[in-house]
Amino acid sequence: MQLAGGRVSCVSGDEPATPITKLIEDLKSVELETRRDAAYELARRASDAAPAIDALVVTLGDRDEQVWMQSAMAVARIGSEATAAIPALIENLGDRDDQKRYRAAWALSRIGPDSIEPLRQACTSDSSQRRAGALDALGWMTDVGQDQLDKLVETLTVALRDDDQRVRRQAALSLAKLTPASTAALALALDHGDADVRSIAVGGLAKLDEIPNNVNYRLSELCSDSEPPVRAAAVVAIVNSSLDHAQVMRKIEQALIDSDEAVRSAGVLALKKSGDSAAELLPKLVGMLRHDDSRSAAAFALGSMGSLAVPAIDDLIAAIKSQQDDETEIAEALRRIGPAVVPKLLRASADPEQSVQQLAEVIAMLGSEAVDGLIHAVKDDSMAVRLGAVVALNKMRPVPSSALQPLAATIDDASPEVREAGIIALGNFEKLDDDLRARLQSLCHDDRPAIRSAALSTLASVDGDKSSIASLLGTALDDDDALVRRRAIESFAKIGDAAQESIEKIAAAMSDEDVEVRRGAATTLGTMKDAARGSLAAVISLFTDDDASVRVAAATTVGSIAEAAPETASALATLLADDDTDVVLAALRSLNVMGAHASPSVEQVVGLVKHDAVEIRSAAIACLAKIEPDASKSVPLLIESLGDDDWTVRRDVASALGGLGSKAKSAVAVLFKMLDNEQDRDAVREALRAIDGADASAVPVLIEGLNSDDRRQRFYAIFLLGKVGPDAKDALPILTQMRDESESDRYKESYQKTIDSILGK
Amino acid sequence: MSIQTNRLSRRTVLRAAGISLALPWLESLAPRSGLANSTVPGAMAASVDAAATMPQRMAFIFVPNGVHLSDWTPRREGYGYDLPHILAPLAPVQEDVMVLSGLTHDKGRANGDGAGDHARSASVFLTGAQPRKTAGSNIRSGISVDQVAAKAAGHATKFASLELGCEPGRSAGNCDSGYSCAYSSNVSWSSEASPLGKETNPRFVFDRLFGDGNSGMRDKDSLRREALKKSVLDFISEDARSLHSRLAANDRRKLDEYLGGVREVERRIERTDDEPKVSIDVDYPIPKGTPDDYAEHIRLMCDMIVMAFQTDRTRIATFMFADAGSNRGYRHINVPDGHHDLSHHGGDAKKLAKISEINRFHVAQLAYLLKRLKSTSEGEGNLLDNSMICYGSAISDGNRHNNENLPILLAGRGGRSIDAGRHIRVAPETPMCNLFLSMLDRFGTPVDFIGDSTGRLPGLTI
Repeated sequence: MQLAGGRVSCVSGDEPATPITKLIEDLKSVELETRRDAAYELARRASDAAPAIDALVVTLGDRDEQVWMQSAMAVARIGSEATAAIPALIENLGDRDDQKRYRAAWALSRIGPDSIEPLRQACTSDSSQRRAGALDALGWMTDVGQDQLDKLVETLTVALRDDDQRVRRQAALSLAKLTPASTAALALALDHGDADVRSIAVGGLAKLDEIPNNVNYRLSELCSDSEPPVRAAAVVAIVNSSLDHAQVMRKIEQALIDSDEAVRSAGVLALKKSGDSAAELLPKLVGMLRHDDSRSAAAFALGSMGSLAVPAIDDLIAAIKSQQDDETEIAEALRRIGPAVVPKLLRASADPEQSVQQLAEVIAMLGSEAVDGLIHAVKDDSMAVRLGAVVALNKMRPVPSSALQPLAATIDDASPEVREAGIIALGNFEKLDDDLRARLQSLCHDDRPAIRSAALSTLASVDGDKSSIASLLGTALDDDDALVRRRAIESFAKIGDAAQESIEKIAAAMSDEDVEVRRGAATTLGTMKDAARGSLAAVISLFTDDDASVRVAAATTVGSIAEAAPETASALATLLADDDTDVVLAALRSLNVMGAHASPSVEQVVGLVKHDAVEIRSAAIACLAKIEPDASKSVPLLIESLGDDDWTVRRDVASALGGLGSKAKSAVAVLFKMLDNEQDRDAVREALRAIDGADASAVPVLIEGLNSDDRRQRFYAIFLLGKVGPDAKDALPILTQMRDESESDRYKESYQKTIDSILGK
Repeated sequence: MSIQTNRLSRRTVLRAAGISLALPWLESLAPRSGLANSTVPGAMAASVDAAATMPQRMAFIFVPNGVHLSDWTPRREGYGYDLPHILAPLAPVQEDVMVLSGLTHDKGRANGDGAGDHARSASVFLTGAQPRKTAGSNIRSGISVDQVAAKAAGHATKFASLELGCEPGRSAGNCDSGYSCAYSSNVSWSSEASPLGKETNPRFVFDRLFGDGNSGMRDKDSLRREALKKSVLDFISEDARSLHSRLAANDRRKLDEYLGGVREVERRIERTDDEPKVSIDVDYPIPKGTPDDYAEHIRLMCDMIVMAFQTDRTRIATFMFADAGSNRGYRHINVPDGHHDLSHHGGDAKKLAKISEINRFHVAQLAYLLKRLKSTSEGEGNLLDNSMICYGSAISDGNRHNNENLPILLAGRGGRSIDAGRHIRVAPETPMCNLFLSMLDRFGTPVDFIGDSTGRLPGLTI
């Protein structure tokens, strides 16, 4: 807490100031830190630094960012006495670096009127970058006389006709900064052919305290512009205009149903900015809810109105029935309106055309705001309301602890649906008291399968004697009802090691007539790892199951419990020819886990390296790298796959090569070239770090990499050339030159280390 | 004991020995001049007047180690964005929160200086300046955005700014690969070489906000109150009653709520005032006066930010939920693992899920602060309407230590100058400092640049 003092200051303010002459000398130093310190200090000295202007002009071109940045700041703070820096700053306006251009433009504006003419000349430069930079600088010139301001506006207006889009855009941005002097120019720019210019002009004019009438009319027209950014800017701008209110509301309404999301978003903002007037659009928005093509947009707008949209709640709930699966706006709108929606959503549960789950989902989205209402509703007279409330509480994350008792009471509800939902919701609590658990155990023998299955699932979820639960679940696997058997097999995963007590029952369930039970049994055995080894043969028998999802589960489970069991590898390999992609993938992943034990399957895996499906190519490559014991055979195949059209495959190949470590040295040449591609860069860097070396084939590309614009790429090149050793002797001349020219001690050290390594030192 | 009313600021201070209890903005004490000569009619005039006289506030909240970005970034841009898992706690205040995707802190990158990403991430967060790599006393970063504002506007309030935190980081020594601890423990810099130490003890913050005189006197008075088992309110109760009788009904309710809030915070601090404790989640003893419940610690600090803003004791605050590279465990949300250890997730889905939970926990604390600001009325709106709360990390993904596409939120409406409630995606590599420039404009302390800014951030308003 800074309360006027108490700082952790590290530099004493009492030290005598370094003389300017010393700082000028320091600016010329070959030592980077010395130049940096001098530049920082001169920037701090403000106008006192004027005698250093010639030295600062030089350091405006320094290679180090901190040096030129602080030099530009020093020049700017010197201000009108720094005219000697104008040419160098204008040169910097054409730089590729945004930062350099911005600092230069700012410094030129601080120098003031003396830089206007040179800047106007720079606006005719051949370099579009420099033209844009000069226009940017002109936009900073807000403190000049009217005559000069007129000249600036004229120059900027001419630049709106530039061939280069960036230049036109910058001209518009600078004009927008010079309002109100540029009002007429901006008004003309509303008719510009470039949409970017039009939208910037709209934004500039919208900032005026009073928008001229003729401009208002044009802004209204631009609400129907062909380009979305212009329409978006215009609809917000007209809210504060003097246009007729009804006309403004019509334009907002139009924006709300625009085909472009950004315009709809702007329409909502305009609606919010119009305050209570937003309610005027309520009937129209409600009407729009009834049409497929405008429903989402209307819900979006209604949600943004908050409590103003309360009268539309019933219509929004009714609209849920017509919404498409991927439409989320109605639920979002109801959430945004707030807790007032809860009672109405619960009542709607009685409508047979409404999905209780869907309605409960919306209520749960309200979170803690809805809890009190729901707890109250659990005791409602209407079964539909009670059910909706229990399902909504179950969907909350976390389920509020205050709901435990009300939910426990639903076990005795007259409605079996409410009882079932209540039992399921109780599974969200970590602990239940003994009485409640005993009650749930008795419900495992209820007449209704839904109640039996819910009770089993909940008992497995909460704390308690897992051994007795395992026994209950095992018994339930013999239940006549498939739903009960499904919940039982799923629930084994929740009771940890205690499930092993029922391993024989689980293995037997792999012969169940129900697909879900068979799949669940195979999956559950997979979680038991070695303990399930005795059931391997039964799992493998599922490789010929009619259902693909069962085959996937079986293949995955074999991988989990048979890491070092070569006899299972040949069985898994048969699945590589399966028609179902997911089965093939599961088999590849399990073979991958087995590593060299799966080497007899190499040929089949190689056959999949060029498969049509991206995910299979990726998995096959990863598998090949793991199971082929001879890297000299797998690496060439992997290198070939680095040319895959899909970047996710290339990423996985790079990762697989990295996993091979130094055995993949021959891949470095190709990998290093891939650093040029942004998509591949991260994975390739990781692979290069893991391979931690290179062979002679990489030397030409690494030498090329020494000249890369990217600092990290240069670093990798230096590092890897050192790893090649004497075979990289061709790199010695350039490395020596770079070492001698480098200003960074760290880089000098790196170059020297690499040179020593190549020379065998 | 006395009551001092500052007619210009419409704020009253109740004083007693060692106590200086500033009160919130009260309409009943507003000057009557101004509206009479206005050419703006009726209600609009009141609104314009109120908006013009309400001070703007800004706060910056730092969280370490980046976030799990795919659980953070909304799918939809513009107004009415979706709330992914981490941002879900913001639902009640979503209309007031802008999600900013794509901002970059280039100076958090090594740029030739090698390892030390965590230290850089804190020092760059509000400065945008490349810190000098040193573990010695010759540290150098840049002036931070909060201090740019504090220098220009800090004179208007008792305290120029508040610097708060939850972890008592060191101010010297090597904390990260050759970077001084001063870099990783502080985000607020009053000059290039002067980080501002943060206060982590809620008791001290409370005493300074409501105490009077110098720090020695405050400590003495605080001990006296403690010995007498008395609240600060006991000492000013008579004057509070007297003031109460002079207020309109609305303001009476407001005053009662405020004093009740002060007492509640005081009680919560009292509950923590036992001996220093040891928590297995952190590797330092928790000092007396500091809750061992991390969420409570953050919330107490948030409450005091709200009270400081509400009473205009300061308009600027920074708050480090944790220091850069913090390896604190989050046992209370079932994540006992160290945060920094987890952040090097290597793509592991389980670790990513845990990181998401930590990130969500932090966002839930932010939501608490925002809800408190929003529920505090001021003029015709609320405190959040007149605030800008910038929240985020200067590292995007803790595994990659990258500094682009940072997770950043801007909450509040900056005196109706921000069209909140939207998700904006800015151009790649747009400097974070461009946001700071735009915030400083709205705070009324415009500057031409800060750190590595390249211009104002477009799009905060449409």
